[in-house]
Amino acid sequence: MIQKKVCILGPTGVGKTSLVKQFVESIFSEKYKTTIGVKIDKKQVNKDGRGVQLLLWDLEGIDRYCGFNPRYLRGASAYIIVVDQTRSQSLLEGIEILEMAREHYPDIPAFFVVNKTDLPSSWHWSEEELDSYAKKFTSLTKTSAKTGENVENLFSTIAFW
Amino acid sequence: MEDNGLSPESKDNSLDQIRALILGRDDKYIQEIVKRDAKEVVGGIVSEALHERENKDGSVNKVLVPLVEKSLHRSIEANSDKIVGTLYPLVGTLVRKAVSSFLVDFVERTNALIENSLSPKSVSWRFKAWQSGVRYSDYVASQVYQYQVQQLFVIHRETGTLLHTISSDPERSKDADLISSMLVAINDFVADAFQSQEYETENELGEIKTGDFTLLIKIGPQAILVAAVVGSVPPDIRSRLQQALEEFHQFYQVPLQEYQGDSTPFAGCETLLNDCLISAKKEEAKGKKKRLIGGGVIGIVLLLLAYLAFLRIDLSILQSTIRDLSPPAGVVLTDTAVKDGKVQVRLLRDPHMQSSLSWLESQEINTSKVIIHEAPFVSLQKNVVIDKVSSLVVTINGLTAIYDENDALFLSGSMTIDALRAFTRELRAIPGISQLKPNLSGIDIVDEVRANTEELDNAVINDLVARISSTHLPFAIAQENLDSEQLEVLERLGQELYQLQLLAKQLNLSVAVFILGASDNSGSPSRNLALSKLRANNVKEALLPMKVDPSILFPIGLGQLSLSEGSMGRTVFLNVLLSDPKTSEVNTQ
Repeated sequence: MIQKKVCILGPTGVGKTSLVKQFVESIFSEKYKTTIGVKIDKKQVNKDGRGVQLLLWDLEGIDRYCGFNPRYLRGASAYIIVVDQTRSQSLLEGIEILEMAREHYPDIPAFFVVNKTDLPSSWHWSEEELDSYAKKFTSLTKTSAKTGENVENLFSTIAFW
Repeated sequence: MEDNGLSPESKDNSLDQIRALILGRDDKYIQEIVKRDAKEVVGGIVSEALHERENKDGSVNKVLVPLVEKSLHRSIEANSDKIVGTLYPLVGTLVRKAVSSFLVDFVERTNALIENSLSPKSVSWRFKAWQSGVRYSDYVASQVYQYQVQQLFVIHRETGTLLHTISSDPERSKDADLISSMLVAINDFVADAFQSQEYETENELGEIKTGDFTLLIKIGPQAILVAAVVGSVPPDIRSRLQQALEEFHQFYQVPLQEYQGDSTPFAGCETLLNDCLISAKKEEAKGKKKRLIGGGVIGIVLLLLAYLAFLRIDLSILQSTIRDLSPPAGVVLTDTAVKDGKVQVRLLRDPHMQSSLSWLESQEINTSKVIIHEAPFVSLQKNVVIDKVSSLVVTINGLTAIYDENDALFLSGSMTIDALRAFTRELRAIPGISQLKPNLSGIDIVDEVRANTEELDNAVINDLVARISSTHLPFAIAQENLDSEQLEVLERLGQELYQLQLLAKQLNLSVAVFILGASDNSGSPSRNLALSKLRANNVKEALLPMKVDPSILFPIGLGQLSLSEGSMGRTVFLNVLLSDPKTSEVNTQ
């Protein structure tokens, strides 16, 4: 079976872990993330009789004062940058994270995820502005970790990209 | 990570340039000749080359095994009928062998299961495993093996994904992919956290050790080999791992370069890795020594238990023997029990009697194993009373105690009146003395002073009066004459009456002895009256020759007595009257 490494990045509190928890099987505790900055879970995704095993590297929240260990992105088939549509700042931080990641690994597909669609959008970005930012990414997906909206689709898309 | 040396591409270019310089245009011709004769050249040396390479590093086998397996598989799929035909004669033998092997294996497994599940060792191991919070199988491995390589991971260095894993316990392989990724993440973390500023080389983990568990990590250009080892890591395992990793890179160079997440091409690397899945059991000698010590301890405990059981049985027998003994007069056995390693004997003992310890010793009882709890009591047994009287009598000179066939006590001898008084007091103080009917008439008073002693009067006179008054002589029907038995009684009675009259005289007392004759109610009353008078008179006459003063004897005929038992009426009985000179009253007994 094909195995793919996928990293999940994003500012603190945007719902990265909740997004992963929606559909993974886990053997390690959350403590790992606070200790070494990453926790790994796996999930098998099937489509048209083919199976892909995703190894999801859930990285701790990144902010402007604390970067992330770029080594964690090495060998990844894709990475996801998650932002929160209830916080304008998270989008800017997400773009900064994208730039940092691109600096080290320019060829890895980057998936843009706007999370918390179950809550009303409270940022001031218009759809056009959002689309212009999304162009920097491989694709844009709007998800809700709470309701599970688009979560399966997101990982399925990445698995068979 | 990038190589520091020349890249493969630049190496290839240099070689091409050298080749072009040396050979120039002849290169084409040489290549053609080599290609034309390639079959012959290779065919001539292929067997020797394979043999030599196999002997050198065993790599031919490692390459061929997965190829042969794959070919065999395809061959069976394509020509199954032929294969069945060829194997048919062998199948019976194979099945027999397999069944026999299964049975042997089954028995061994059952034995192992019994040993591991029910033995004290396994219970102790289970407890310790639970206490340490580790799996029972892991704890057993740590106890049984000096070391054991439990699992091997081959991990793609770039992505951290698992290429292949083998394990001594198939259960462990379940989450090997997640563990592999985590190991790579930890390695990345270490590399980032302890990055050296001076040197460009990355710090990478070579070993992770927790207690008895070690992860040995060998990092290659494209793959990482990780061995999970329990116990003390043997020195040669690192070189084995290094060799296996090098071989892995050598054989799977192409799949590694082309790796896109598919681990299928690496399935055949098991033969490479198996050489590293090694273990060594702990030396049995230590176990045997422990078993010997354990056996010794158990033996000592058993011997001790046997000795204690023997002691207990011995004490029980002793207890039973004591319980069955007939205690002497004055001793009553109330209870026996075994407690505190001794036989506890509870008894009542008259303080006058022999000690219970000497009694037990006389019965050949080992008294060192006996603890006696005594409580005093007063025994009224006749033997005890006799013994007490004898003890009293021996303290007085000249006094003799005689017992008749009915154990009646007759005392004779001589003593002063004071001594007699004291003796009488002590004699009467003996509990149960009345059953011996003590007779003091044989004691002579050697001192004149006794006449003035009232107690002596009471003691001696009253005793005589009582004895005389208790005498009765039964007669046969219509018989008034005395037979030999009656004369014998009268002889004793005569002596007592003689003593009575002497004592009364000394004490100035008047004595009257009424001899009362009676008859049953058969016959006429007048005849019965006459018969009763005759009987009384005959008794009186018989007493006269015995120095009895006739003036104190008063024979009276009572006539017939209407008693329910007729024979009771045919009798003569006596009654004594004593006058008291001081009060002028008469004492009747």
